[in-house]
Amino acid sequence: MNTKQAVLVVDDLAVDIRGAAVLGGVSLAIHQGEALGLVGESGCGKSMTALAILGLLPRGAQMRSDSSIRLQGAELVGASEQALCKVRGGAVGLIFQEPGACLDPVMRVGRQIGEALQLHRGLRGAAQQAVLRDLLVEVGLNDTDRVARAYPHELSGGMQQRAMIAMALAGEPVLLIADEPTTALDARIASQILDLLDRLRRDRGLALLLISHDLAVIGGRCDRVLVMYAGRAVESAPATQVFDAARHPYTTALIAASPGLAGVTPKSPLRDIPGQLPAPGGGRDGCAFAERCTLARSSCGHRVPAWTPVAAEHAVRCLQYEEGWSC
Amino acid sequence: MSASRAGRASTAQRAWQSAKVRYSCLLILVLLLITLGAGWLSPYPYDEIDAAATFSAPGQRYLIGADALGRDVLSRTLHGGRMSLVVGLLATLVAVLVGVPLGALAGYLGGRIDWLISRVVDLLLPFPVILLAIITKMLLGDGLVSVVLALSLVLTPFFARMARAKALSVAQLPFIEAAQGSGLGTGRIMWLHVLPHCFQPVLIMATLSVAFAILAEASLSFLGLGLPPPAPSWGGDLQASMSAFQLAPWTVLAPGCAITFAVLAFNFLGDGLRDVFDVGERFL
Repeated sequence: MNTKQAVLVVDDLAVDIRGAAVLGGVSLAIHQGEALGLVGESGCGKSMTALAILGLLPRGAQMRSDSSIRLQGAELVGASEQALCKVRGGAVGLIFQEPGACLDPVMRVGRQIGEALQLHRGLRGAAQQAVLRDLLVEVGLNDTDRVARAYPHELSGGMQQRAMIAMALAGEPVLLIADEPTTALDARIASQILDLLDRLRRDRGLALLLISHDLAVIGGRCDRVLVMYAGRAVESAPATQVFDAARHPYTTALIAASPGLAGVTPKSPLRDIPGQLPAPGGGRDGCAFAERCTLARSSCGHRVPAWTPVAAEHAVRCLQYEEGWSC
Repeated sequence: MSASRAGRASTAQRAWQSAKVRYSCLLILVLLLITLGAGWLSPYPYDEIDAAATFSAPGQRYLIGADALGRDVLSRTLHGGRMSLVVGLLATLVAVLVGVPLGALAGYLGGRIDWLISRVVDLLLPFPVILLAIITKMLLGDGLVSVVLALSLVLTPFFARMARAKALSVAQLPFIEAAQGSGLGTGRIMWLHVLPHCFQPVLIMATLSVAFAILAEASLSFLGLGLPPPAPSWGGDLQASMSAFQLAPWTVLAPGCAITFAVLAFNFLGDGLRDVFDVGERFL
């Protein structure tokens, strides 16, 4: 395992909404300077995981009490709202999908970042302005005065996302959570933003949790990948192994459905995954992917598979490895 | 060029470009100057009785005539505006300061707090202003405070409802979640991100509510629920002179026209602002 200190350790995270399980058995660890990719189709619980880490669950959602989220060793489950407010935007920076909608349209960009600086670092006046300029330059917004004075709608999508990143950096975080940071941006800008996140991670030694539905986004930028399906983590592996030696049937299907990944040539048709994501809390006993899985056997419907190691630092929740099917 | 300019113009600049807003502002300014300067502008004290001049017609001595007690109608009308404008502005101010934060809090937080605030607002809503005025007069006695309190009790629910509706829709927007994610507490989010979004509809509604309050104050004074005589007020003077309408129409026309002008001025301003901000009828 990584010898550096783990920044974030999530252990057996489970969330219910009105009795229906929307997240279950999500475990992950991110070390300093490491990037973890969280991947899965829409509705599989990626964003819910990010919100749960910060205690920002929607109304009606409840975290199960045996869940554990430790940030730099400190337990966040059951922490006071005050303590969580310090963590949000402080030790943990959050970046969202739609930068245009995540900035308040009636407030100047500089003021919004300034509020975060004041809140988390107590900076006001000239000192705040100086740090604000440094932050804007760091995220590649070199025309600092114009950007700081601008309202969000006066900036392009890429610039808005850079401003959001500057805001997330305002509290000098140790962990950056980027929830689909490039989904709303065009391909060229998206890769610039991902490069920026990459650079920040190296320069600042940040831990990065990169959430995306797009394996191609995760692929080249992360050290490890966690694949989620229907609220559960199903495969955890080093990034290189996920693409070359994916073990879970869902992961292999996801790769086959992704354009531009190894093994898919421009001419070959993309294969989609037949069926639909099951509704949460449908009273399933077994593997959630069983209905859509080509390899499923009758036992798949009865038992939730446990984590089974298949290689170094590579584990899968699938009965074919747990029960040792010969296939 | 001009389009991009208009896009960059501040809210105040955009409002000032509307003729309706400009003229109604001018009218309101004149009204304020006249009523605030009534002490200097009036030819006579408002309560100076001249027994020889009962119902004297407009002329050199009394510019727009005298009333039943021989008091100068002009002086009384100028002074009467004080009561109307002060009550109108003060009642609206109180209603905004109480109603908007309460409503915004209810809309933003939801849940039990929303339920509680909404029920209190619903409870206030059906009370007629006259009944409230009688109650406050009973409790607090004659005076400005009881009139202002009665009117602000009537106005507050409307501001609370509007702010709640606005806050409900703002609370769903992603930048609120982003603000929570950056560690801002409820108070800061309300102050920085929720209340500013209520500003435009509140401003429009406040202008229209001043007009409503002036009219309501006149009605209350007409019914004797305002300040007791000899304090000058448009509604009170209207009532006092009503029986002499045919004998001395000026005694009724002066306060009547004053009420009309004041209400029109604020109504026009509200209309103009609504056109400029394009808020629509949803919140009003």
